[in-house]
Amino acid sequence: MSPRPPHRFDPLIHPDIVDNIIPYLLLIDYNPRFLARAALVCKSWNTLYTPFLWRNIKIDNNNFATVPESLQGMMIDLLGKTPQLTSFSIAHNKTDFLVALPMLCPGVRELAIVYCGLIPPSVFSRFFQSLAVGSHNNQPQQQQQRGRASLQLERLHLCECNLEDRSLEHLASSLASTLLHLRILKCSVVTDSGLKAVLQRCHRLESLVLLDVIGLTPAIMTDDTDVNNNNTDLGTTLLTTDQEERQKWACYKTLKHLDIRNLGLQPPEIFLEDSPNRAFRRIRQRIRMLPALEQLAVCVWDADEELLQGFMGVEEKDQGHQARQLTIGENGEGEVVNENANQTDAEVTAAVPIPTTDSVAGGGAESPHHRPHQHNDQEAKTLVGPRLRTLTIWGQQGKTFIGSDLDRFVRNYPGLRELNTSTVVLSKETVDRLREAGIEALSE
Amino acid sequence: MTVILVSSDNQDFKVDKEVAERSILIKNMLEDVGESDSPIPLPNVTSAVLTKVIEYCEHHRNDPVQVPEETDDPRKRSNDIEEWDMKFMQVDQEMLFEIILAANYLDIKPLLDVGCKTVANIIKGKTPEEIRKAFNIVNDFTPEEEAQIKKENEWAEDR
Repeated sequence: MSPRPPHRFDPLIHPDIVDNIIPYLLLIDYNPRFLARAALVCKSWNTLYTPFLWRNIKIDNNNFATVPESLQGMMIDLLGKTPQLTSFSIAHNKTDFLVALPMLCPGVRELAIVYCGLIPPSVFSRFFQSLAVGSHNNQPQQQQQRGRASLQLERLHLCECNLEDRSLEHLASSLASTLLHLRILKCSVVTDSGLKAVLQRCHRLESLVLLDVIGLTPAIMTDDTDVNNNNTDLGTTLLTTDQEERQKWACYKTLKHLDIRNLGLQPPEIFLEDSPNRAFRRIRQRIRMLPALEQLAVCVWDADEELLQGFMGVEEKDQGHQARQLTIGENGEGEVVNENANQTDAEVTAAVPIPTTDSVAGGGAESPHHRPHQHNDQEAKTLVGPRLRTLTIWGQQGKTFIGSDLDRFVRNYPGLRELNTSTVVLSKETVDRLREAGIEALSE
Repeated sequence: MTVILVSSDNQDFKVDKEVAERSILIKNMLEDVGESDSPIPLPNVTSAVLTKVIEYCEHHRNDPVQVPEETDDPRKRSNDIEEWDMKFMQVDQEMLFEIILAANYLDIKPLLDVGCKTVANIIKGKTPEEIRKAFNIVNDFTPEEEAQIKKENEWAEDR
């Protein structure tokens, strides 16, 4: 009974032994510094230590076209070697290994799960549930003590996944205080109820993209009965913006980017409860409660008049929006505005003349009616709601805005720099006038 | 009950079964074979190294056996080394490596861990050049390659 002798090897370059050494090099807050230095020692060390420094992994079906059944084992093996991972993207129907992600790669902040329609909803529910604070018994103590979620996801992109409302509820309770960017695309089982759970809890959201989620209705925007009963009086809708309604979107203070292009895009006859105008009114009312909103993509249906009114509210004493007037700046990047939002103040101020700068300097303590330099009637009021920088409008082909209509449009969107539209007919006059106002208009 | 281990240089070591079974390799072999007096040859371990390994196993003979799940989570581990183990590991580098190799071969996880911790502690806090010096490793990068890797991994130093 003689065990076969293994061949001799240098323990410092033997994968099994290096695997054992590495955890001890990472022990201080998972700091990768010592790994980075080890990777510089020589070529063989580099080969062994470099995967432990990987931060982004993207896997699509093509990578594994020939060996799908072994994916799970390979992935766990790979993820086990990439403790520094911050971004993970998977397009594959075998993602059972997701539950291992928090333990193997606790640093992941960005997760994309796309085209995973064959994964049953229970897998997502289990995964999101497992992210809740303290749900892993074998979490490192320090993390539990800090009371954090086991995986502090900031960006989540879910496309063509079999998500149920229940999965979203788990997502909402586990990621309430970490999630900043959420994109849900083509997840057909999701309904209003699941999304409302997310909106009620995720209070740090900066961007929310909901596209082709056919189960969603404009009712996610606001429940306010005024929307249904009051068809005409715009002012009233504004003044009844009560705190309770506002807080149904916990992220109302932080949301900068909202894309709901398909919400209510169905032709009028498909609307069950809401007429297109009511749907738009719901959307408008919500948007007025989002003072930080800079970028909006929305569908309007038969709503030329409302579009001209803009999304600005008027005459409310809330001063919160003023702080962000300073951050209005040029942005030619369309949908990636949040990536580029960190321009310096100097740049921004130089790029855009802001009529109300003086009122900001006044600290907002002054009464809105006693400001020294009023530029025009619009600015004489305290403006509530977003000063949109980028507006994307889909919907039925509308009329051409010219003359006084166009002036009104420009007045009602004082921060606007970019207009993408399939709705407004862009004649040369319109384009020129918009450009004069500093708005770049593009027909989609 | 005792078993006899035979080192690569043909020395016999008579040890308690309980001590020998700290090695999962030996434990499994004994289980497979059943009751037997035949000596167990360990052709990959010299007598000098085997003496050290047995010394470790004797000292830790009463330690609870580690549950695999616990030790699988790297974050469960700590950098602390028990005082006795620390002294035990005060050997020259060649012996340290031999012990690590033997622990890996004999499948004595706690001993392998102590060895790897010791190596990690040598690597820690050193520059790449100092690491090379510590382990007598030749830098086989071209200056360009080295600069490139340095640049790629810069983020790790900044954290």
